[in-house]
Amino acid sequence: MVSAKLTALNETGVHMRPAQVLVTKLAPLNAEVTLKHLGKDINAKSIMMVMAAGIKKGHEVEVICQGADEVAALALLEEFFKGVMDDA
Amino acid sequence: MRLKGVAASPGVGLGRILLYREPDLNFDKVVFSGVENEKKRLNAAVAKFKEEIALLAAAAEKRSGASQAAILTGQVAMISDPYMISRAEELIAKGQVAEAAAAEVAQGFEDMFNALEDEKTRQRATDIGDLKKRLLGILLGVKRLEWSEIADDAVLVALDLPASVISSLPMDKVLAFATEQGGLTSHGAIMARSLGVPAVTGLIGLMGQELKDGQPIVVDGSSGEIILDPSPEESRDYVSRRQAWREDQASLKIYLKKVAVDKDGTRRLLGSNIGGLADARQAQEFGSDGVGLFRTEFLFLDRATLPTEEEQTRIYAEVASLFPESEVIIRTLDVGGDKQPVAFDMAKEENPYLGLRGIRYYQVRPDILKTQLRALSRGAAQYGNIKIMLPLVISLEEVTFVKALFKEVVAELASEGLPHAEEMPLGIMVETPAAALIIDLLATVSDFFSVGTNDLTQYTLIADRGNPQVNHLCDPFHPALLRSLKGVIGEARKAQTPIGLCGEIGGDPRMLPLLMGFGLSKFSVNPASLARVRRDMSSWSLAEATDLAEEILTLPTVESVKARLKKALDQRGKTS
Repeated sequence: MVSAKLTALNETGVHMRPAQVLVTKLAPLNAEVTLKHLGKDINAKSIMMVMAAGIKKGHEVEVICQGADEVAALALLEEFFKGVMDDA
Repeated sequence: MRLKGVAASPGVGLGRILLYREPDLNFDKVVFSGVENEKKRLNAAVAKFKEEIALLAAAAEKRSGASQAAILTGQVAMISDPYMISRAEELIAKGQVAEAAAAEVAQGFEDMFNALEDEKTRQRATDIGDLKKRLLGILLGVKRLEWSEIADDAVLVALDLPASVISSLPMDKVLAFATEQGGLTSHGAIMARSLGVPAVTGLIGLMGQELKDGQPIVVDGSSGEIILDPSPEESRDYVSRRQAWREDQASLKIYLKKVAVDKDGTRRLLGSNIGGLADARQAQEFGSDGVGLFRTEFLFLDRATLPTEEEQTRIYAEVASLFPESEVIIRTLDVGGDKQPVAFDMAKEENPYLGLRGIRYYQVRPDILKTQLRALSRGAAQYGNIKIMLPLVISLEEVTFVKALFKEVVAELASEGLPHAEEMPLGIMVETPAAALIIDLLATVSDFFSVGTNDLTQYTLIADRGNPQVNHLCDPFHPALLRSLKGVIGEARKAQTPIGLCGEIGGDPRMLPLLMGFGLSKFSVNPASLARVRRDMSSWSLAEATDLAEEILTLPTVESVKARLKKALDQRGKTS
């Protein structure tokens, strides 16, 4: 298991489009990815849960990845919260 | 047989009824066919769903661009959510049929999104509702209305038209809409306007009529009237009206991108009246000179909780960002009268229009105004074009009260270290006879004025515009109103306080020259009317408008005023 506390830098928060990009990139990985945010556990592979989480710019999110490719998964989340995938 | 509703999107359509009914999605009679088979049914339905949406999205993109298609492809992303599917499969494993499992999971998400604070994300609940209906329809094998089977003269008649239905419409085929529910600002009405399709909404009792597919119907989206089974004379009349409307539409196209000028070439300001972001985007697309009236109460209606400061800040800033060159006038909350949002729990009054309305309500709930002022000040820190306007003012004290609150708010924001505007232009809406009579005094506490003709008319003529027994008296061409308008515009100019008019009547081809003649140079209308008003404006020189206005002011009755205006416009129609 690997984990990190990340700050969301996504300009307009995690809305439909960024959430779509995230789940698409996570889908091929077998690691389970959980986001801890505002006291809730969010399955990062579920676009519904990710959108409904209400993650906004400046929020701190704890990311926990578990599975064979957990390191790759965490790296993906680090990239994601930097906001670089927002317009992809 | 005629029915009157809300004129939701201008234009005339005449054709045959195509009834749209929500399909029956009841699955009580579906029998459980075993866990594996139900899972298979679910997955097959999901696959079919994706296929259908892909086709619809491709067609929507061709027809109306990428944004319509994005709404649909978003639904594919949602239904592909592995978590959602596995939740449904769990329910199937517990003995539920695929329909029940899909409905329960989708409903759970719909409720979850509906409870969210963020407006943009909350709107996804509608998409999930659509998704649920489509998926259930596929599972149940309910036949959907296939657009390819629609006749060329279809007029869509429905209880209400959800966004998903409208966005999948073949617009080259549907001539018009008529719905029992909805108003001027319902989603369907806004989309009808942006698509340029005539529509009448709010037709109370429509679905109770005997309606059948293929029945002749006329929809007059300009007057808000429909005719079922029109007589041959009515049909002939509306055929020529439709022809005239279509020619008019074609000739208006060039005015979509122009700026507002009169015949002398003098630039005049023509902004838009909006109720939210969707209207604002449309206004921007049609080259509006900013926003003359943002009715913020629409942010408060149809919801159980008040919009937060963050949400309001974001919306005000986003609207302001669309018009970097122009002013964006945001009217603070105007509730009471016919607007009683559920979130406010307002006391019942004998005469709500004469009661706790507009600015008076702030005395009872200063907290709500303070939240709004905080959001406005924070929005103005990002965009300097935001101005504040107060509704239903009758006295200077009311304005001073709000100014004091604004000072408090600024001090709070400063102590919290939040970016905010220290000072903002503050204007008042001139919509009471009291304000009209003391406008010179109000000019000492107001940075600008905007005339609200609907309320000024009903308060001057003491006739409730919502009361069918007297609303015919609510006529802005009454000599009393014309004198009032002339006086107000003249006094404001004398006081060198900018004045505009944000009533829809300002764009009426008969009223426009009168207002120009009274000295008005700032107007604000619905975004869909911008092109037409620009054209009408360009046909009047100041001298012509002034002459006409002076003559009209000598006339004693509504009848004579209207007759003279009709003659003037008819003559111009012939010479131009």
